[in-house]
Amino acid sequence: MGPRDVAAAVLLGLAALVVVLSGLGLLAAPRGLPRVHYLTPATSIAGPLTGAGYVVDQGWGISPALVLLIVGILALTGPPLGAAIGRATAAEKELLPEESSS
Amino acid sequence: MTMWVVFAGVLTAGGLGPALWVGARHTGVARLVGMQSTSSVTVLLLIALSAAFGQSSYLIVPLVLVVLAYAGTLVYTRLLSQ
Repeated sequence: MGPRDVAAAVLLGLAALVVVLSGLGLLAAPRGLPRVHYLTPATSIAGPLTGAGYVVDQGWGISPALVLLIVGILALTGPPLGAAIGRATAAEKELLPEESSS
Repeated sequence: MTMWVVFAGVLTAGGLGPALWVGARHTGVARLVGMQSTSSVTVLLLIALSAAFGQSSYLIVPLVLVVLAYAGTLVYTRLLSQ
């Protein structure tokens, strides 16, 4: 097991840890807005870590570039989706002001 | 058993399981959190399975999923807010 394998294993281990902690947070958090906080770690932290692990493990090429594209899209789209879900949750609980409810 | 198989297993048990549980309970808006978490973890899981099987052509599936999940979740948030 060379240094590249060790580095890839560490990156994937960290990504898995983030996903598992995020999942446990989802289960433990009360329903509603607190749960929304546990969405973004999987997209913004675990995704790039997985992409980095893939690049370190497989080397540079078209497939790692495609994986980086996928995790890049995931990291870019995660926060807006979290905000949209948070807004929908706030609207359901009637926490939004009248003028911004649509 | 490669590290990618182990990674896929951990994602399935520790990420996909809780996400599906949250997505299957309570009202529609509360389920959205589980649906979004499910799609995020599934994208990572499909990347891991592609690496585990050594089939880079499988990467087209998470690429399509990450785009469709974004649009789909936005549609659901819009519909459930009305």
